[in-house]
Amino acid sequence: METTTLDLTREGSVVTVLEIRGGGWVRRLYQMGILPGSQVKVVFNRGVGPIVVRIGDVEVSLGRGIARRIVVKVTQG
Amino acid sequence: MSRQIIVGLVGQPNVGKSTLFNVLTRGNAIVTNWPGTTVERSEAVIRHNNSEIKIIDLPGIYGLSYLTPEERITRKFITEENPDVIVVLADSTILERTLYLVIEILELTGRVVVAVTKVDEAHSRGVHVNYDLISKRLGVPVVPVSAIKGNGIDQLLSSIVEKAGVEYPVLRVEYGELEAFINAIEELFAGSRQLSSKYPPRWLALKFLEGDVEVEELARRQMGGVYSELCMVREEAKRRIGQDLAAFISISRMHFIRENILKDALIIVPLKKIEKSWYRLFYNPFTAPLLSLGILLVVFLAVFIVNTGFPLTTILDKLGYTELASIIGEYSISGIIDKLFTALSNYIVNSLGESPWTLFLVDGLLGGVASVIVFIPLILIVMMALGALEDSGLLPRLAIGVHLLLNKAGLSGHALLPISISMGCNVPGVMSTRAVPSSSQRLKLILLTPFIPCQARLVVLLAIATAIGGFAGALLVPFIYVVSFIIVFTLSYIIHRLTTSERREEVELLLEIPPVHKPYLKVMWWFTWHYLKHFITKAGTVILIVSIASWLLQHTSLGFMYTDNASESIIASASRGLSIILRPLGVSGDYSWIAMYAVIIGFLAKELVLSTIVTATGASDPIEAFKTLGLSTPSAISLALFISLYIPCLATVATIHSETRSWKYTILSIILMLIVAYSLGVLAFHIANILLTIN
Repeated sequence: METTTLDLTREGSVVTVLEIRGGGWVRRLYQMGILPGSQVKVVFNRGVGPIVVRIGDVEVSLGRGIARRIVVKVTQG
Repeated sequence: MSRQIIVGLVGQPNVGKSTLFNVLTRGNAIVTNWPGTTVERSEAVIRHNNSEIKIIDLPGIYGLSYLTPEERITRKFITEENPDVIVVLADSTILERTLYLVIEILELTGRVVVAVTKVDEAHSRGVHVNYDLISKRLGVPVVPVSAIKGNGIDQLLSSIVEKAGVEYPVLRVEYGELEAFINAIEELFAGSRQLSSKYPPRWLALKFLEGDVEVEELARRQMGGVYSELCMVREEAKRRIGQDLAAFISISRMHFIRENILKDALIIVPLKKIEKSWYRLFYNPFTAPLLSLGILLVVFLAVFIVNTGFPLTTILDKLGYTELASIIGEYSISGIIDKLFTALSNYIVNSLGESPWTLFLVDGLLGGVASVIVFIPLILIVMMALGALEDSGLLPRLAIGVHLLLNKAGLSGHALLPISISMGCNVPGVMSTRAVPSSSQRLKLILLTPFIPCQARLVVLLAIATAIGGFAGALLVPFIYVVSFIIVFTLSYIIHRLTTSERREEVELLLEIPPVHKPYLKVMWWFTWHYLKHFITKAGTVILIVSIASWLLQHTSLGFMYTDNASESIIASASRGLSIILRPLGVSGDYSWIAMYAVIIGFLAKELVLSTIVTATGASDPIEAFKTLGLSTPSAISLALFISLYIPCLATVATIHSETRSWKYTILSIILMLIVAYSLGVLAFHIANILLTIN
C-alpha cells in the first residue's frame, strides 16, 4: 500500500490518515475528525484549488497547503 | 436568602461553550487566570428565581485524561473546589462524539446537568433527539438549549437551582471483559478511606487501569503495600484484554454511548441529496469562481435595488424611463424612510412652532435617531440575503469557489463572509472576522474591510452621483466600488508579500461543508440579528451621540452662543482654516469650507455628510446642496472617492479597537485609510480632469 500526502491522492479514493505534519491547523483538523487513524474519502481533487474530503457524514474542504501536510495511506482506489 | 450556588461550565472545544457562558452571564464576566497557569478563568455571578449562582467557565477539553493543563484544571476544579453543579455541554450536531466527555464526568460525579447545545442547527440538519429518554438513561437532567436564540436558558438555570445540593449516583458504564478487574481494583481502593471519600472508587479503578498519571501517583503514595497488588491485577487485565487498556476503555465508552444512551433516542432524517454534478460546480477550479461571483453579484444587485433603487434606477434613467426610475427610487426602502421622517419633522415643526428647541428636536435628536434607524432596514436586507446564503449551505460553497481568486491576493475563502457583511455595515464586518481561523489573516481583514463601501456610504455616493448627473454621475458608484475592491486586494497582496513565509502558509482554507437545503426564515433571522444587533448597539449609540453633539457644535458660535446660521459656528470657522487641505482634490471657491466641514463631520459618521452639506448650504435636498457647492465634475468625483475611503467611521474605529485591543492597530487603520484616500482622491481628480477635457 502506498503512502502519500492528501493533496496527491486521486479523486474517489479512500485513504487512512497516518500523520499530520505540524502547522497551526492540527487542532482544528482533529476537531473536524481528521486525525491519525481516521478514514477519509477524497470527494474532489483536480490538482488545483481546494480539496474536498468526506469524513463520516461531513464534507470538509481543505486548501492544498494543509492537504500537503497530511500523510495518508491509500486503502482503496 | 439561600447560599450561593457554585456552577462549573465544562465542554469540548467548539460546542458553543463561550456563547452559552456569555448568554448566561449577559457578558458580565470577571476574567483572571487559573492559579499557576496562563489559562483564562472567567466567572460571573447571576441571579435566578431568588438564588445567587456563580458560574465558572472551565477551559475546553476533550476528556479527563490529566494530560493537558486544561484537563488538570477541570479535574482539580471538580474534585477540590466542590462545585454544586457541573454543567456539561454536548453538541447536538455531533452528539456521539461530544457525549464522551459527559460520560467521563458522570463516572466521576453525579452533580451534573447536561446542556445539549445548537439544537436548532441540529434540527435544520435533520437531527432529532429524544432528550427525556437520554436524561433517563444518564440519570441526570438534560436540557436542550440554543444559546444564540436564548432558548432553554431559563430551563437550564432552573435545573441548576433544583439540582444544587442533590447527590445523584455516578454513571455505571459496562466494560465487558474488563469488569472483573475493575471490581477487584475498586474494592481495593474502597479500603482506603482517604481516597474513597474524595473520589468514587470505580472511577479510581478505571483511571488506574488507564494508566492515569495522577491516580497512579495517589495509589503509590497512599495505598502502601496494596499498590503492588493493584499493579498485579492490572498486569493480569492487560494479558487478558490483549490490547492497550486505555484504548479498550475508550472504545467501550463509545460503544456504551451508541448502544446504551443514543439507541432509539436519536433520529437522523437524511436531507434530500442534491444532484452531485450540480454542487460539484462549486468545487471545480474553473466553474467555481464564475458561478460564485455570479451568484454574489446577483444577490447584491437585488439587495441594492430593494434598498435604494440603484442601479436599476440609473439604468432606467439612461434608457429614458425617467418617471419609472423615480418611482422605483421613491419606493425603495431608503426612499420610504426618507419620506416618513420628512413628514414627521414637518409635523413637529408645524405643531410646536419654529424655535431653537424644535430645531434641536427635529434636526439634532430626530435627525440623529433617523440616521440610525434609516440604516437598520438597509443592513437588515443585506444580512437576510447573506443569512439565506449561509443557512442554505451555499455560502461555504461560495467561499470554496472564490478561495483560489482570494488566494492570489493573499486571502482565503474565509474572507468572503467579512467582506460580504461589510457591504452592509463595517461594524459587524469587522466583528465577523472572529470566525477567520488564522490570526494574521484576521488582523489583515480588520485593517482592510473598512475600505469596503457600506450601505451608509452607498446612500451618500448616490446623492453625489445624482448631483453630478450625466454619464459621469451614472458611473460614479460602480467606479467607487471597483476602486474600493482593487484597494482591498492590492493592499492585501502587498501585506502578504511583506509577511514571513510561515504566516503566508496560514492563508489556507479549512471549512466544513454542510448539506444544501432550503433556508429557514428563523435561522436567517438569527444570523441577521446576530450581526444587526452589533450595528444597533455599537454604531447606534455612537452615531446617535455624535449626531446630537455635531448639531450642537454646528449651532454654537465662536462666542459660545446659539446661532441658527451654520456658517458662524465653531466647526465652520475651523473648516475655513482647514479647507486648504481639500484644494488638491479640486475643491475650492467660496463654499469649499462646507466640503471640509462635511469631511470633519463625516469623520464621525459618513451618513452625516449629506445632512451636513444640506444644512450648511441651506438647500432643500442633497442634490441641490451639492450643486450649490459649485464643484466641477472632476472635483466632485474625487471628493466622493475621498469621502468613501478616508476613514473608518467612529463606530468602526471603536469596533477595531475592541476587537484588536490595540491602539497602535486602530491608529494604523485610520492613517492607512487617510493616506490611501487622499492620494487616490488627488489622482482621480487629475485623471478625471484629463478625460473630461478630451471629451
